[in-house]
Amino acid sequence: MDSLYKEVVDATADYLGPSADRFVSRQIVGHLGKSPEKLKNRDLNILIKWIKPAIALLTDDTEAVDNYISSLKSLSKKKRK
Amino acid sequence: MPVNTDKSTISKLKKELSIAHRDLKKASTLFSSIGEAVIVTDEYGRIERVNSLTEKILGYSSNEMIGQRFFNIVKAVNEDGTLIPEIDRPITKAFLKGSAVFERLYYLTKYNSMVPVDTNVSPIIFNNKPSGAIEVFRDLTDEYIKEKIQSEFISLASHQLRTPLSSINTYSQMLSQGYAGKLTSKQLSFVSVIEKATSRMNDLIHTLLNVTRIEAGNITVNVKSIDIDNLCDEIVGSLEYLALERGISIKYTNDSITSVESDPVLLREVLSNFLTNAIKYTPRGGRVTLRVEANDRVVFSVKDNGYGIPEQSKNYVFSKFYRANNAVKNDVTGTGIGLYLAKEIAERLEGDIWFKSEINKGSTFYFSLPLIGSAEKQGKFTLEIPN
Repeated sequence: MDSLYKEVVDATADYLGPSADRFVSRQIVGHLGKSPEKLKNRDLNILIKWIKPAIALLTDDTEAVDNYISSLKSLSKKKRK
Repeated sequence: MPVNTDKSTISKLKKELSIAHRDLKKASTLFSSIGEAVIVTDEYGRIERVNSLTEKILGYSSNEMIGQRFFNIVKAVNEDGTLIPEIDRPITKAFLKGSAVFERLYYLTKYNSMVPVDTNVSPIIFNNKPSGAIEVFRDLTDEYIKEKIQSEFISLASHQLRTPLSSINTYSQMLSQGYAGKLTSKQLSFVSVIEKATSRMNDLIHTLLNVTRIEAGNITVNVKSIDIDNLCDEIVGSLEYLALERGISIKYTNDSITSVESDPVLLREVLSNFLTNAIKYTPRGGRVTLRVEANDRVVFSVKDNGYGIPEQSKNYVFSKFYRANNAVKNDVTGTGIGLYLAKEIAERLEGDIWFKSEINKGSTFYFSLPLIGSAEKQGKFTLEIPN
């Protein structure tokens, strides 16, 4: 089963490459206080709130940041088992 | 939506606009008046605002910085000049942590020179959302120069003062052992005076250098699990000769606690200092007791039935170079640095130090540590123990 965490990492990898896993897991542990595999839809809003400025620091492309955040927001709307 | 253009509304709006302009100007003045360098970034990590100190330290004008990506302007390196990855920078960590991050590192100026800085950076939370960051940093160049001078002085003093003393010590020992021929008893007594003076000089250099290291504010605290009985027995053993010479009995008691996490070198320095003072300032036939107790803290105490401390001297006991009148009278060799050093060490170990004393009845000096012990600290120096 594909976890939400894996989907977030896959979406992030388009922008951060191999660092995506480390970046996303640190954000989840730091801001949500839970292990990455336990990420749920309802956590995404808080995660997105903090991921946006963090990833904005690491890339020069504001359009890419907005596109990335949109892709994360669409993950939060996806129904899961 | 129709706009209300009656005179009173326009007047009210003009007044509010004027207040808003005034507040904006005041905020701008406050920002420019901050005595540290400040950089504000927006939610996209672009520099939104800087003050004049930032321009001065980094060498860029505000026009060159504003609108640029933070990491394109503010490059950070390690002491060896290697670039610190963006993901490891304090501002990235601040967004990860959700609160302020404090670090020391080096920034590269526009002209590629390295500036040591003390920086703290926090996310700006607006409407419950991080909307940027504010970084405040300070140029540490002057402090680094001062530390370098202190460090060089310590190395120089350590070597330059000790080398001739070492020669004096070696040759006086060779004389007393007959390497230059058998000495008369008078000559031997003269050599003995030289040896004692050399030993005192060595102790003084050791203490002064330790004080300099402590005052540089950068002593390493190497935390280890200390067997308290072993340490205290060792310290008492090393001072037995002094106690015997002065006809003082030393006792050690501990029925509370077997070990504590702290720096054994620093702890030894404090307890040795307490015990040496107790022995020196107690008349012949007196008693000195080293006790260890534990309830909510580990408390080391050294009690004597000696001369005590005069009331007028009590506020100065831990001051550098201070010696009470009766101390000077009873021991001409003291330096007035030992208790000052003990107090500085106590602070570094996160302990407390205090005393009780009554003139002609004696004193008790206390040093306590938290039950969990001291925290490990990385510094530029370690204290020396005398040979």
